[in-house]
Amino acid sequence: MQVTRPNPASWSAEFAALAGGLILIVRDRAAMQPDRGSAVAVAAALVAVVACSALAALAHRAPPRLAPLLLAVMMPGLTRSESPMVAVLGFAAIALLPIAALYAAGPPPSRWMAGAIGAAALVTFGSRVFYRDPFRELRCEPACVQNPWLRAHVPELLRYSERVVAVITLGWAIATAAFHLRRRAASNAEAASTLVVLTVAAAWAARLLQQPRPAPGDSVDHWLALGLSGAVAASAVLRSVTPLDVLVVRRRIKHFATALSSAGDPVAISRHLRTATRDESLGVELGDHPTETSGTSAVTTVVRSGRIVATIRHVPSARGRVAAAVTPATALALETQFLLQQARQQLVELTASRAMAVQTTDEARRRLERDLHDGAQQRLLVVGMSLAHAADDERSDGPLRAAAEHIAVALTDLRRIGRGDAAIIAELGLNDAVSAIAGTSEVPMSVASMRCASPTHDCWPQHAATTAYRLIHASVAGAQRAAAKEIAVKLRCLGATKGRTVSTRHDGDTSTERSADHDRVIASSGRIVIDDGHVFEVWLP
Amino acid sequence: MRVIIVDDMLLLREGLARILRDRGVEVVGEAASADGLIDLVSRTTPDAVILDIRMPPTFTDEGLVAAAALREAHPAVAILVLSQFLDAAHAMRLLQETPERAGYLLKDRVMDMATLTDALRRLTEGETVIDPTIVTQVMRRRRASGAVELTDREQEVLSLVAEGLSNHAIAERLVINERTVETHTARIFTKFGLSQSPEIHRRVMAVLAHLRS
Repeated sequence: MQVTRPNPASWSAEFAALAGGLILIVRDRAAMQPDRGSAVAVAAALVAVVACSALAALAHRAPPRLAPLLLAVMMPGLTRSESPMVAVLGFAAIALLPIAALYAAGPPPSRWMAGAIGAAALVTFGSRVFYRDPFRELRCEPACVQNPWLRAHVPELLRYSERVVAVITLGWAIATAAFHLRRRAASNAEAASTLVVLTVAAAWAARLLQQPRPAPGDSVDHWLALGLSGAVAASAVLRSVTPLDVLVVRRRIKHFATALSSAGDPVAISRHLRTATRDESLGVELGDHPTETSGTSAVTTVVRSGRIVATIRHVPSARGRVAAAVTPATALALETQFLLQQARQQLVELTASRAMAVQTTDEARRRLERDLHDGAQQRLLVVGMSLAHAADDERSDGPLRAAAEHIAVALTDLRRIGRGDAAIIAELGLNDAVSAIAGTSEVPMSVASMRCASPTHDCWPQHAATTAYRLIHASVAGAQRAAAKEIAVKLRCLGATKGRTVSTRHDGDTSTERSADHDRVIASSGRIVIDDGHVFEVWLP
Repeated sequence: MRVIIVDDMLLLREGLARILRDRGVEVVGEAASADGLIDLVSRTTPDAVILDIRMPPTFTDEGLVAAAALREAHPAVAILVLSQFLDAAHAMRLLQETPERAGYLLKDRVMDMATLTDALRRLTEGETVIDPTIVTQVMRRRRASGAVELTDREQEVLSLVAEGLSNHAIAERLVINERTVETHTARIFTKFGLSQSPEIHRRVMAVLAHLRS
């Protein structure tokens, strides 16, 4: 199963990182002479951003997102560092930004965001290069740029480029907001940090678009930069709640997956899912149960092999956690349960319908026998009796006497037809009924019957006895056809719960073919143990 | 001879009664079920009771149950049980306590009125009547399992003994010397360990021993 899900934690970390980077650019523009306090704030924001990114990567077992790390490396270059080495490294890092853009292969708005980072960084880089030669005049003021054209136009270029960056940032902020509003934030922490980042981005954009530009070193800018750095740090910390939560959830889900393998039934799976997702209202139903989603409940379906195997109802805010909990193992367990449930249901239906078929046949047979016995047989008997009586005075080959004899034959036939197996067994018990077969069999037949240890237990309930009787009957008939010299029948009762076996063995020349009664064995949930044409053994429940 | 007929089929009961009357048997009572049979017997003092084995309410073995009760209450009354199907177990149940004055016949035998009246006569004389078919059945079973070794001729003789034929009648039936029949029966009795019993009883016991084992 492919569980596609957003990764809120890593998203948050990236947003925070981007915001942090932008804030530092603001700070760079606003405070020409960085003081110790703002440097610490910037460093704290950076650390928070990087930590968030690493944590998210760890929690989701994914490679860390490159964008925050790139930003972190590039920050010293963007600030007015006193160290030439740091400044050079900063520019080298900025050159890597296209990689960040390429890396953003994910779905929007991840791509937009990466685009925004790249654009902002490139614009800043460009302005830097033209504004001041990084390799020769690292410590030079804007006024010392050699090229007269550049000296005349750089401030203008810088202004326009800053406006472009401001517009892009605003666009990114709106896109992010729209994304979060549409998707519903997975947690309160995420919602809060999104608000912080949006505020930061909007404030910075407003500041950039402000006309006329505030002079460098302005105390308003100074405090704004300080405040925004703090906001980014707070945002990063807030966001770290989400990856932390994810870490905990991950451990819980790991535990859940282990528990899942030991607890099979859907109730247990529901219980484990409730524990793993911390959603007490969560419910699992096997199969597809189309439910209306409302404000208070949402539905996640578990799909395997293109089929919905389970429907999970939960509170909407737990969507992310439920999605995380539906690991391939969970889906497999649910599918197993779903298939088991289906199989059991089908088995119950099938067994019932088969038993019903057998029962109906027996019932019909009994009815036929009763009807024959109460109707035709009795009337025929009376007619025969009267005929025989009337024939008393007749010669021995007279027509009445012949008629009476025909009736006697007809009665014998009727008795054989009408006599249901079940009735014979009910009257005689299986052992005597089988002995009766032995009595009429042309092939000498031996019967061995092992009785149950428990005298109270009915060793041969009616259905088993009927099946056994018919099988023996069929086997004897088969043995006769196979010209057998003897046939041995064995009836064994294995115990109250272990069922019973019937076996027949004959020494005929040819093997006996499968009879229709074999199907009856299967229909009564029995099993054919041996059937090699001469030896035939079945087990009956 | 005074007879009571107990059968749930009205048609058969009346037909049987009419034919028996024609043959000089006095039918002193008819009943559709075994309920109140003992009272009826006390009232009418018959020589014999003809019982259908399957009767209401369950249509299984009411006739045998009634026979046992009747035997208890009126040991002198002969009982002839008629059964739709032959069944050695049923025959055993009827005959094993006191085989005298008890008979077990296939219901179809009513068509052969001579057999029926003969059976009734023999029963009232204290003999046992067993349907020959059942003996044949049991014989065949015995042969297959091979418990007591009887020769073919001995089995033939025994089945005729079971039908209630005398040595003389058996000799006629098998077209052999009566002496030979006596030799055969003596050997059969020895095989079943019945040498010491009186003649008639021995004959019954031989058949029963056969059924029982």
